[in-house]
Amino acid sequence: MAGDGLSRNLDEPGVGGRPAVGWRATLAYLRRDRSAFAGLIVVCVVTGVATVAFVDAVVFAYLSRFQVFASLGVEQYWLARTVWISPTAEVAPELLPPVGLENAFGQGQLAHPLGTDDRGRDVLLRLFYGSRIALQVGVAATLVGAIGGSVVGAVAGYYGGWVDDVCMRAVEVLYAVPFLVLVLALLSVLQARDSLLVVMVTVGVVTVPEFARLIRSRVLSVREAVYVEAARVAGLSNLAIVRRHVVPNSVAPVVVQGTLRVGTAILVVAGLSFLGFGVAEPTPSWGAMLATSRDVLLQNVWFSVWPGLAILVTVVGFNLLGDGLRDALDPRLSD
Amino acid sequence: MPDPLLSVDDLRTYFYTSAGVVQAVDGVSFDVRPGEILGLVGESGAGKSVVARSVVRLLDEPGRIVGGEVRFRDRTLVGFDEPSPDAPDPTETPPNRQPRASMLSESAMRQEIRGTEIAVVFQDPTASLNPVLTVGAQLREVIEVNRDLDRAAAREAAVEMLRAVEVPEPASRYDDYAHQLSRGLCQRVLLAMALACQPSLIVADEPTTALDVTVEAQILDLVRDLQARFDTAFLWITHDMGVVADICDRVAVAYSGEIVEQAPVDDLFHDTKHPYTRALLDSIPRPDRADRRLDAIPGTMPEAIDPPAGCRFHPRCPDARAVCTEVHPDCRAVTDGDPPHRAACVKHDAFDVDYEHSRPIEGIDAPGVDVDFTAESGGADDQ
Amino acid sequence: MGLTRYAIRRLLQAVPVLVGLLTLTFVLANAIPGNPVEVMLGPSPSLEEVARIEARYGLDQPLAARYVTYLAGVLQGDLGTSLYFDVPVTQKIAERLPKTLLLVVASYAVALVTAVPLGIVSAKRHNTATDHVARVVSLLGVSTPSFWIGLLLVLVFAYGLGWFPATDLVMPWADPATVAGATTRLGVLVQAVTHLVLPTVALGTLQMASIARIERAEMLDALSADYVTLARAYGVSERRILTRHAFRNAQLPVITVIGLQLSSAIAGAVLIEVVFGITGMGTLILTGIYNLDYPLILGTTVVFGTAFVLGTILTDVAYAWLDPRITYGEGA
Repeated sequence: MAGDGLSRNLDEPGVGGRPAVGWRATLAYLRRDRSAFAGLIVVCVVTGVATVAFVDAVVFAYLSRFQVFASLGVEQYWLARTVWISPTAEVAPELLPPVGLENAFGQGQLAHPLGTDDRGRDVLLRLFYGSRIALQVGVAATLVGAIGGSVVGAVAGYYGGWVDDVCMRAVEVLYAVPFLVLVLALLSVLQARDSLLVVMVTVGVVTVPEFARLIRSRVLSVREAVYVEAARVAGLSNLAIVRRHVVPNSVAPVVVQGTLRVGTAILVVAGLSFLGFGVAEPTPSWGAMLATSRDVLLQNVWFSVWPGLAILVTVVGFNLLGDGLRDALDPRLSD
Repeated sequence: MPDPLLSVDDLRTYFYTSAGVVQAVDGVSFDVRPGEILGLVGESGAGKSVVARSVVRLLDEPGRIVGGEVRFRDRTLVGFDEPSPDAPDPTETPPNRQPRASMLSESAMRQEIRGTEIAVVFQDPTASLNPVLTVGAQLREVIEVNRDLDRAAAREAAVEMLRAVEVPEPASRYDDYAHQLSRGLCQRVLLAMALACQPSLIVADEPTTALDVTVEAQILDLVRDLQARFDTAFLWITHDMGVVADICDRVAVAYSGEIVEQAPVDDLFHDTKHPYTRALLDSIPRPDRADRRLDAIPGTMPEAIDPPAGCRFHPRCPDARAVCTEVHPDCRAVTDGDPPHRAACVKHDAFDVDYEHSRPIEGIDAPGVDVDFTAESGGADDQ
Repeated sequence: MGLTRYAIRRLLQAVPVLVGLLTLTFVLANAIPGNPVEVMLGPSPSLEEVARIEARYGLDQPLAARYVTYLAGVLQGDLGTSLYFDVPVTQKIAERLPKTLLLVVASYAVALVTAVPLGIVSAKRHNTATDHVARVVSLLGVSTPSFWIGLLLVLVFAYGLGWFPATDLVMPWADPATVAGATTRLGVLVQAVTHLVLPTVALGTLQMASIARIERAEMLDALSADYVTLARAYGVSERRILTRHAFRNAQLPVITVIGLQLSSAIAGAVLIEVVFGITGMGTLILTGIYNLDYPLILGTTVVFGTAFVLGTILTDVAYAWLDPRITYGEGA
């Protein structure tokens, strides 16, 4: 997708040219490619928002358990409360439309620019805090998948033989069940419907196969490369070969796949919270907001628009960034 | 002197990239006579393949033919009207040259020229064949398109052609897929494709480069036989002077988008007129001349984006003088002869620039390698 | 090697995967922390029920024996009894499976029919306005949650414009007497189609967008391949190049992607069934989960997994059919 106006640019990194090496070169490429740059901006903004929300919702909540901090007034949603109101505060009239519009429940107010939900909570604020769930699961699950998958794939690819067979068969079993079904089954059997941690780990586990395959094919191709033969003849240990040859070669596709995967993981967690998994009231989450909106679909149309839009924009951002990274880091993989 | 089959005159093909304008072919002129094999030789990046594609107008973006003329017999394949005086500089922006009225349309090219009159053989034989179709089907398709034969007759002709290029068991090979054939066999199939259309000219772009030496020898023998039989002319593109010596009648030497020397093959090897050709020949090991140094040509060929002023070879030329930085020589006749020996070097009298009195320029020191073919297994001297 | 032999080989390769799947569900049911009886009966069962279950399911047997019994049972089609519905799990699945199959197959069909031409046109008109629009649409398609699309479609087309219903699917072969708004066979068919439109569009959008993206990428690749340039050099017409040379080669990775898409298609089906209230496999497994009906949950998981494995085998065989290097390769 990205990198279209840069045909046959032989000296600079990107499509048709050599891959960008190092962060500076990658950043320079991204700055030139407008859609990838847009993706980068979106990702940075959403990550920023989610980090603030994470601190306010999770870190402060954890710290407030200690007398030292509680006495200072630290509590969950402390920042939100100080600046405005808590995202769980049911203070406003319910189901107000966005500012400037009017519906059966009343007139939109400036204090609640996107309106309120079925319990009188501000929608904009809940969108803000909902990003935390999306990104927390998205990033954590992708990390679990990337690290786990890389280890499995590297081991399978490097040692080959029966180790390879066992690893890849096991991975294929994970692949054999559609991921949502597997996650649902795991969540229910572990009786952990509201546990975000379990969601993170299970979605991560389900992501392992694709990273395993990716790393395994990289390892296989590096293993056959002549310079590895040379290194082995020169007396390098297996570990050193892996460290020096396999790892640098695999960074790029993992980064690309990882970025794209975060987008997919966000869609998965949105689906899960839509079904009622992973978060419990009153924690705000985009998917859960959509589930509620379904019940009040006719009464407040706008309520179903905002959370979906938030998901869309975030995932588009990650996809654009991922595509841009792919163009920059591994032009052979792109158009 | 018979009329040339293919006549290329001042052809210019540029690539408009965001890194700059790549002047890949910058004023190339040569002729191919009926029935002769003209070699086009030069290093990688000299623009040889671009010439091949420009001749049949099969350039990919962002390449554009921006000037010159290509004629095949009496038809114009490439030709433009005079540029208007306020036309943009083609070395900066793609010009909007108006094609001459006589220039063939794309559909005319497709129907009358490509395949029928001019056929092409590319470098990588296995990549040139579609992996999901049988080789026979592809051969037959090409015959159907270019000769007026129905499917059954085309199939027969295809098998016959496979036999002519010495493919064993042609009838059963017809149903094989490209990945089931060795590279040598694939290249034979591609030669069959080229010849099956009975063209007058075959443009062969490094057809033996991807083959190993013994297979290459077989293919060259085959080509010689076929050429004698069918009297096809060849534009044979290669970087291998050995192949040139083996098979070509005349040779054109390409450097940095230009032709720097053009002569019959014997004259080129024994009466070399351009320093670059001389340097090329000196860098090849020749077993018939023992105790010789192999001299690498110092430096590298300039990037086609920013060619040097004056003669493009002067930075690497041992005979360079001050005048070489000012004058950009064209490839003109420097002997009387039929055909004349052409060279683009101002040290010849045909260029009236007072070369002898010009100040010599410092050349780049060339590392060399000593080669001794007569020594025992004590090996060659090291540098 | 031949296509049939390849198909058989793939089927045989699937057997250990299926066994692995069953092992996984068995492990989930039995080896997790907690009483396996609770797994069967839900939390806090009475002592009487516990004894009954233990005897009936041989839970006093060692783990290995239970595993074998479980496998044998599954092979004979016994997936246990649903706690919530109190009927055999296989019966519930048989009731619900057709609707899910109809939804998934219809959405794939719609996705393929729209995505393949879109991708080809996009590649052919590479870098023009049409291409850019198509790529934006594809990007949005893979980034939008399908259930949100479903909600919006319901809002606009069902409630707003009233063109299509937003309720459960109607099977085309249903008895007219059971279908509201239909008195004849034809009427039933019409009802089936109108009920299918919105869910199929919602589910198919993601598939269509992914397939269109890869179709475009692969066609671009194929059109710049050496063998295409050669065909052009021999005067083969552009139309013939597109249909005969480029198209077939480009489909190979597309087929692979279709197989990979199957997993998200199933996930999407579950979500879409919820949005539209469709009584299919998706709502079945959710009912099981909400009611802690473990036999139902695990039974549906097995069926989902098996269907998925068969789906991937189908795509692999389709791939092999198109690519002679698979069947005639390796040692030929």
